Amino acid sequence: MIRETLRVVFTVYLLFPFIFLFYQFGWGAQISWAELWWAFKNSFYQAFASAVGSLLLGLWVALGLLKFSSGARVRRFLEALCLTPNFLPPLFILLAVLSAVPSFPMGVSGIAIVHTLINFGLVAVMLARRMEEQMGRLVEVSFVLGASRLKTWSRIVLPLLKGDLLSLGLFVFIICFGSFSVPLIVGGGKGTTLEVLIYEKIRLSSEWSGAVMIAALQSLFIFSFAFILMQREKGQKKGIFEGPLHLKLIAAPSGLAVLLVLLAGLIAGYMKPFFSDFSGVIRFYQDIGGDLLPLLMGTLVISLMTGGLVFMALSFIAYLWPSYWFSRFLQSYLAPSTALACFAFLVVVPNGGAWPYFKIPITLLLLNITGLFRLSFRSTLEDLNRQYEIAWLMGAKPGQIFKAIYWPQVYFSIAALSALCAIWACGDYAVSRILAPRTLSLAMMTDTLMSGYRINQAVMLSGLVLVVGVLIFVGVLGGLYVLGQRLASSKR
Amino acid sequence: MKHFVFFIAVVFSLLFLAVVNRNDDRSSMGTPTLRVFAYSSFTNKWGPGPLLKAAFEKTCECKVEFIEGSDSGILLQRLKIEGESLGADLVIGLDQFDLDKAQSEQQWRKISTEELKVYPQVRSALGQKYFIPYDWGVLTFVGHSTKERKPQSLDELLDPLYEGKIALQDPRTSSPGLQFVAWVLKLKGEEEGFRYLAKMMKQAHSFSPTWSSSYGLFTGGQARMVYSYITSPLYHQVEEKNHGYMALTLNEPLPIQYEFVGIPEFCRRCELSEKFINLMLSDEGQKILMTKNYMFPVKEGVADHTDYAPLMNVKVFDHFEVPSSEEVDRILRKWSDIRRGDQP
Repeated sequence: MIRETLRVVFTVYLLFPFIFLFYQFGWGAQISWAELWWAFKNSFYQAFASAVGSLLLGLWVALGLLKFSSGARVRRFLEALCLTPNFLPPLFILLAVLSAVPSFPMGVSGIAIVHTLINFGLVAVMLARRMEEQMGRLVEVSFVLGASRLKTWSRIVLPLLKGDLLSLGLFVFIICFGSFSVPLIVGGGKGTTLEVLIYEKIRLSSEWSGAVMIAALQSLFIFSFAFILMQREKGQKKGIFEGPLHLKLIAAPSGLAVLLVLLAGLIAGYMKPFFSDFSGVIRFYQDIGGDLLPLLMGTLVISLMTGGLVFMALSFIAYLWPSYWFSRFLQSYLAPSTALACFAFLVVVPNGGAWPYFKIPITLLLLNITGLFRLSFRSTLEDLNRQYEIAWLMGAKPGQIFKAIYWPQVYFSIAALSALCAIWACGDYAVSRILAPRTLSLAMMTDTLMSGYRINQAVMLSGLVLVVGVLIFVGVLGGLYVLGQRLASSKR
Repeated sequence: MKHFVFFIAVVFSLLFLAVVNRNDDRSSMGTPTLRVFAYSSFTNKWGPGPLLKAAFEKTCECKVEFIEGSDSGILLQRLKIEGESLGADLVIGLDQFDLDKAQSEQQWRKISTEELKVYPQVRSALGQKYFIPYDWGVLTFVGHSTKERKPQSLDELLDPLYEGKIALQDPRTSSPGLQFVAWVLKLKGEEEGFRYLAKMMKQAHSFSPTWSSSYGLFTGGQARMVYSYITSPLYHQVEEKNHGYMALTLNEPLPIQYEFVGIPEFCRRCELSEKFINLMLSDEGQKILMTKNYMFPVKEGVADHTDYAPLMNVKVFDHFEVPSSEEVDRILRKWSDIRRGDQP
């Protein structure tokens, strides 16, 4: 009963912006259906193109990853490279892409290109693992029996991979459909998506009820897609990785070349201003020197507090696991639009004093927690369902099961996801800018520089944000890992 | 285990207290604090805010504290949402398109401007009861100073040569963007103006949400031209010793953007607010605004014998008007329809 109440409380927290804004502003909005349809089409096209692009590129890179067996050091390193664009705040990818590609196409196609660059690595890693699990032995046997490459692809790989490709495509589609920061910048005003439309409604004309309605419709649409994804995943059998495999027939070294060329391009694009004006970098850091320490401290507070909150929230979810409706809700619910959540917190809580240091992490938690859950935490928890059932049948209480089964096995996953969210918080300026009355962090200063002609300096300062972000990631991961380990050992 | 958790808690608390204390230092006990609400490029280290604050604090026996809105577009939104709880004694950075909305959504104190001698281009903007202009800028297209022929008129901008090459701002989120739309409509009349804007959709590289985003696209090499201020190239010359940019002077008169300051009725340090405005309009304040904001001063004589003076002599629309917010909304709705591909 207590756990059920806590689940409801947590659900209410996630729904808070909707509940509050509906209560405050009601339903009576006049929506322009032509505008809504146009934004919906843009959202759909860009998400569809992003999903297709990520799948094609991801499959190619996955075939490159298969050159090395899972668990090998080189393979792990390559997987880390693949995941880098997905784990960095979108700001860096945007700066890199716009710097590397002259006359970058703005609009729906531009959004799809950036989304593809952000997501292809994640798709590659997931696909490579699925291929090993699902068809590793079959491909090996096919190779031994002398089947041609074409035959292996048409008879084994494609039929077995079809379902996974569709599921992964849906996964990327859902992420991209609700994306905000990328369409805001590279949409270029020509590819307005539903998320951007919500932002415009609040920002421009204070049409709160209209914004809430669009956000609700968008959430409903994503919810239905997520539901389809869940149904598909339920029917899929999990394969078992059976050790080193020889996947020569399907591995393609060119996939590695694609990965390295894309990453090199992004890094070169991002570093361009540093090399083109190195003395400017020195001058800039000399000039800004005295202001860095307080901004650094502000960045640390916001990032660490966000990491800490995510750590607590994921631990809380693990404690409340398993529950049919709760897991379905977390899996299907997409956080409300960024602008909507920020303005809700702006209205409801005071903005002076130390409040922004609490409001920003709480908002970032609300915006990211379901994404983190979907990213990997759900599968981590689901893997333990059988152990839960056995313990429950043997009469263990939920608290005991959490301490003895869940916690020791999930704390590293929780620490890693918390560290990931801390690095996102380190690069956040959009949420902070709405909620903070002054510049509190390095990322906010980067944004301020961008709004005063100083584009190169903004890129230079973002370099420091990146360094600090990596240090925070390592620090939070290490700290929470030690904390988790100690908690686990003290409970045994 | 307990020691470890205790250690983490202490480190984090110290870090948090250090940050909060740093912010509290700004409003020391007993000294009155003037809270100024302005956009971030005004309040940041390179903007005019810190110098104005230092000059004011020398004489006022008070502290100045800035509250930042990300840009001028968000100022009104936050004022509306937070109202009195924002604690702003002074609001800096509204332009002529914001004034009607500002007056309908907030109560403001009257400001007297009787003795202020201003440049002729500013005179018509002085008649406001509640707001006073503190700087102004002329908007035009900025490009690279290459030898190739530059467009001489608005119509020449429709040349296929510039297709997808001009960085514009979204008029619904950016004041220069709205200035552009209003300028075209004023020059060409509404019917012809919207037809022109429809053709301009093809020429636009993008409609960025803010001026800074569009300017970043231009300096980053994404676009060949950007709609910006006539003083933009001056920034590159002064700060970067870069003479590679130039502002176009077209055959048509160029539009002016005025930036206003106002005192909300709920101000707590109203007298200090008035004194701060006096500083902004003094020779010292106007010079700071000119050199840090890269905008023209309103006070006559301040820009004389500076690099700004020749730029002030371009042909401009100096007829000032405050469009009603309903009118602005109507124009923006029509622009939105055109953007979606509907015919004007």
